Amino acid sequence: MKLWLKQTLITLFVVLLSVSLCLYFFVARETKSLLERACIAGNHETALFAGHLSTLNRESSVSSDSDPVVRQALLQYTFDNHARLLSSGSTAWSLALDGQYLSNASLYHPLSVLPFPEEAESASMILRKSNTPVLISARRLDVLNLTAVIYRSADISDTYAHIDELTRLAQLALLGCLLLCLLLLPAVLRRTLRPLRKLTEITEKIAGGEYDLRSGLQAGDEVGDLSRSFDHMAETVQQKISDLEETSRRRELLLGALTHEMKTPMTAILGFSGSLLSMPLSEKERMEAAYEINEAARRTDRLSRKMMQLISLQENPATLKSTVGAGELLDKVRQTLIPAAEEKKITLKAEAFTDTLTGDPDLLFSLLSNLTDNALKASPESTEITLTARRENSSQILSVADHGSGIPADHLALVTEPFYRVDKARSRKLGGAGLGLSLCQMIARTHDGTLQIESEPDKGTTVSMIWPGEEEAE
Amino acid sequence: MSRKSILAILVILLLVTASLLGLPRMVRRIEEQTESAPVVVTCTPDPFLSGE
Repeated sequence: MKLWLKQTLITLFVVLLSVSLCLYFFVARETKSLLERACIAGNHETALFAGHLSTLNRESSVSSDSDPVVRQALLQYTFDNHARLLSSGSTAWSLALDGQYLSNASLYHPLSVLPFPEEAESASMILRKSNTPVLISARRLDVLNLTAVIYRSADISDTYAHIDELTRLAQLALLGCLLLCLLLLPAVLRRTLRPLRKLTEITEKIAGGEYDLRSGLQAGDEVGDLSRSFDHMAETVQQKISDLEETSRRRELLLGALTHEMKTPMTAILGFSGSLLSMPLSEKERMEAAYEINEAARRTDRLSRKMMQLISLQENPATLKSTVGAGELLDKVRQTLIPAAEEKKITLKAEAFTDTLTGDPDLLFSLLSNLTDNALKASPESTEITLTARRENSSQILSVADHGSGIPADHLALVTEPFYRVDKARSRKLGGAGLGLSLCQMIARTHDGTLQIESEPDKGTTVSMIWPGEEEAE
Repeated sequence: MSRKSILAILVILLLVTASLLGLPRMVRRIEEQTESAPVVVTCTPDPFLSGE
C-alpha cells in the first residue's frame, strides 16, 4: 500500500469516527433539549391558565360555601371563555372534575391517557395518536372549594420535524466531511510526500550511475533532514566510488607497466639463453651471454622486490610510532651505499640535527636508500650527496640533496608515478625501474607525511620526506 | 490495489453507513424513551395558585 493511501485511510477513519461521535453527542443532547423545552412550554402555559382561573377565588361573588352546582357552572363558564381565547389549531383545553369532563375540546381524551394522581401538582406526557406526536400537560386547580384538573393537548409535530431536520443536517455534515476528506486528504498528502518521491527518483538515477545528482531539498522538517542525510550519503558514496575507480585505474596502469618492464629482461634472458642452446659460441661469448642473463635476472628480482614493497604498503598502510636513532639511520644508509658512491668518487655526507625520529625504522631506511640510490644515479662523478635528519616545530624531515642533472619542471609532478622515468634510456641502463620515488611517496603517506621534491636542472635535486612528530624532549 | 487497502476502505464505508443509519435510530430511541413514561411533579409551589 502506498504511503499516501495509507495515511489518507488512517486519517479518514480517525476524522470520520471523531465527527460521528461528536454528531451523535450533539444530536442526542439537542433532541432531549427540544423535547424538554416543549414539555416546559406546555407546563408553563397550563400553569398560566390555572393562574387565571384561580382569580375566581377573590374576584367572583360566589363564595366557597355556595351551592356546588353554581360553583361548577361558574368554573365551567369561566374556563370555556378563557379556553376559546387560548385555543389554536394545535392546542386544545379540557377541564375535569372528580374524574369527569366539565369541558373537553381535545380529540385525544387526556383524562384516560394521563390519569392525574391526587397528590400531584402537575404532569405531562408525550404520546402518539395516529402517528401524530401529542403533548398532554395537566395541572391541578383548587378554586371555589373545588379540585379540578386542567388538561392541555398540543400537537408537537413541529418539534419532531425540527429534530428530524437536525438529524438530516447531521447526516449531511457527516457525508460532507467524508467528501471533503476524500477530496483534500489525498491532494495534501501527495503534496507533503512529493519530496520523498523526488528522493526515490534520485536514488534510482544514482543507482543507474548518475553519482553527481543531489536532492537539494531545503525543507526544515523531517523530510528535509532525510534529504540532507541522503545528499551527504550520496557525496560519500561518490567519493568512495571515485577513490575506487582511481585505485583501479592505478592498478591497471601498474600492471600494464609491470608487464612492459618484465618484457625487457625476459627478452634478454630468452635471447641469450636461446643463443647458448642453439649456437656454437666461444668461451668469451658464452660468458657474455651468461652475464647478460644474470643481469636480466637481477633486474627482474629487484623489480619484483620493489613491487612487493609497494603492494604491501598499499594494503597495510599502518602508521608506526617507533623511535629511531637519526644518526644511526643515516650512517647505516651511508655504509650500505658507500661502495656504489666510491665507484663514482662521490662523497656521501650524513648530517643529523636531531637525536631521534619517530617512524618505522625499516621503511625510513628504505626511503633513504632509494633516495640516495636515485641521487647516485643522477649525480656526476666527484660530487657530494648530503643526507639530513632534522626537526622543525612539530615536523620531522629526512632529506637527500645532490648536485646532479636535476628534474625538469614539467616532470616534477609525474616522477612519483610508478614506472615513470625522466630519461628512460639512461634509467634502464642504470638498472632503474621507475618505482623508487613511488615507493618513497607510499612510505611518506604511511607516516601521514608528504614527499617534497625541489629541483633545478643541472644544479641538483633535494627530496625531503616531511611528516608529523612530537618535538624532541630537551 | 492491495488486500489491505480494500479492507481499510470497507471498514471506512462500514463506519460511514453505520453512522448515517444509526443517527435516526438513536433519535427515535430517545423519543420513545421520552414518550414511554409520564412526568409527574408533586408539591410544586405555584405562584399562580397563591392568589387567595
